[in-house]
Amino acid sequence: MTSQPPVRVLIVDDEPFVVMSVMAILEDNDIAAEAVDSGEEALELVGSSEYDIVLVDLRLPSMQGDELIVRLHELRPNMKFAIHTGSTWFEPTDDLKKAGIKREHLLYKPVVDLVEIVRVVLDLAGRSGE
Amino acid sequence: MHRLLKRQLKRIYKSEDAFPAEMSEFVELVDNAYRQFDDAREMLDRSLRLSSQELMQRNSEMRVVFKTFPDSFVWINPQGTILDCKGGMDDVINLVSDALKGQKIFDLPMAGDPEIFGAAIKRAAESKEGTHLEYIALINDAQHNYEARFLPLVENILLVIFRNITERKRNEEVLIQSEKMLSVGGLAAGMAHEINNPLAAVLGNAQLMRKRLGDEMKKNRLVAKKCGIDLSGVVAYARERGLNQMLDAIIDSGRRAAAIVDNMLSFSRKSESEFAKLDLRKLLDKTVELARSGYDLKNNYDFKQIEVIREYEPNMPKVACEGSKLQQVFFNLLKNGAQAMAEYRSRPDVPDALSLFTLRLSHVGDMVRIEIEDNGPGMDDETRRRVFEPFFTTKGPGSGTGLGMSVSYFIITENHGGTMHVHSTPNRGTTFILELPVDGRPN
Repeated sequence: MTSQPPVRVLIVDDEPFVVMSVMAILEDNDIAAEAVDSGEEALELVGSSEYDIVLVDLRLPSMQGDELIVRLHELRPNMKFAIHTGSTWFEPTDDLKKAGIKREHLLYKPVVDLVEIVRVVLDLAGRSGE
Repeated sequence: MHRLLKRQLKRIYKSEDAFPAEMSEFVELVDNAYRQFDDAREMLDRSLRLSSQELMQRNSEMRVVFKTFPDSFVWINPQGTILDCKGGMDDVINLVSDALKGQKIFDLPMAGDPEIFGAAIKRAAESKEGTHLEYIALINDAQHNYEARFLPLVENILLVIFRNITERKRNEEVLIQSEKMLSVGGLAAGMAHEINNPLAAVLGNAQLMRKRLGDEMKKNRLVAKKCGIDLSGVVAYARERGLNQMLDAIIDSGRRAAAIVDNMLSFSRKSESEFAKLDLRKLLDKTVELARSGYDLKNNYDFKQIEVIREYEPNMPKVACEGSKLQQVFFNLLKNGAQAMAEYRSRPDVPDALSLFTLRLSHVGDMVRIEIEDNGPGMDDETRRRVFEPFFTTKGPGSGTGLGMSVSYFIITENHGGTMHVHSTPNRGTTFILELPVDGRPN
């Protein structure tokens, strides 16, 4: 049992049923998760609360996921990012790479085993031992 | 005096000098007339000689050009008897005029079906503009596409012009195939994005349900206690009522659907792997070993019983390619061929014989050529034309998605910038021919 505070994840995704399952798997693994369904809301929330990891879908209602990540990175340079997308293929731009996005942080829907999402989150949080 | 005049005078007056004096002016006039006539005729002769020389020269020029025509020309009467012929440069069989005069044109292998051909002759003979026909002819056991034009020339003579259009047809098919691929690719990419989200919802939530109906997680126990129930009772109920199996079914189906979408996306996804210079002989042999050693309960063929003959050219250059993708293509072709041969030889009307793969590797210039030939049932023309089409399959439902061949085609043509063709004759087997650029052409 760890005495470290739980990892805090913010999910940015406008697909409610996907959000449901991602939040559930994170909770089952003692990871604190919150969700918003737009980039604008995410910016607001991050402004006032602390998160370790942001899990972003690329396709969002107004501001797109890639732009969101760049702006969040400016706000909180220490925050880490992962992408959970329904797109078939994605090549991170230079700006995204500067924000820390690497190939291994790209999750393509449908992730056939949800544990993979937990693994990526824990990896990013530097807690892969758990 | 003109010799002809002399002759006439001799005949009338016994001697050329013995004509009456008063006739001398007249005789002179006649003499002049004869000379002028001679001059005129000489000029006519000369101009005729020049004209005919020019004509012959033009004629021989035309002959040279004519000789280079790829088409074959056959002159016939309305009953189809060959009057004369001239073979084409590009032709599969050589027409020799003397050998064929007097024979019937429908007997020529390149005429295809004699009844259809005969009907076309009749139609052409009755019309002024003639007619034309496109058909398939079987020549030396190979199928060729032909186009025949029937032109009525004069009464009772028709000219039939044969053109071998096999190459053209093949190019047209490639074009149609590419268009189909493109449209499937576009559809696939668009659809995939839409499907992935609901699929993620189905898979994700089903997985969670499965986990939460079990007793492994501490949280399950805690929540059960909070609800005042015994978790082991819930677990037993879920098991007894088949809930776990149902959830497994949902998860399994969701994964299958995801695999199909992923497969389809091969058409639109850009390749991320690197190209490496590989020895195709080793790659092909490795794939054969893979096929041999694999044991699949669903297979109704035994690869070990198939003989494999290798005709590999020595000094094959290494080829820049994506090894795993090429292996996928080779494996797909070998698997399909093995299945086809096994089914074919299990038929009662097919003589017992060894199933055989012949693998050939060769290179010409900057391309390498890979041939995978089997001695199975072969394909009819329609199957052969559609074999690379996405979702086209001759197997029953449940035996795959029909995408394997189209993905292979895409890998060879789009990922590697190569070409892929199939040659096949019913009951004589099938050969797949792949050509790849040695230096690779990654997309």
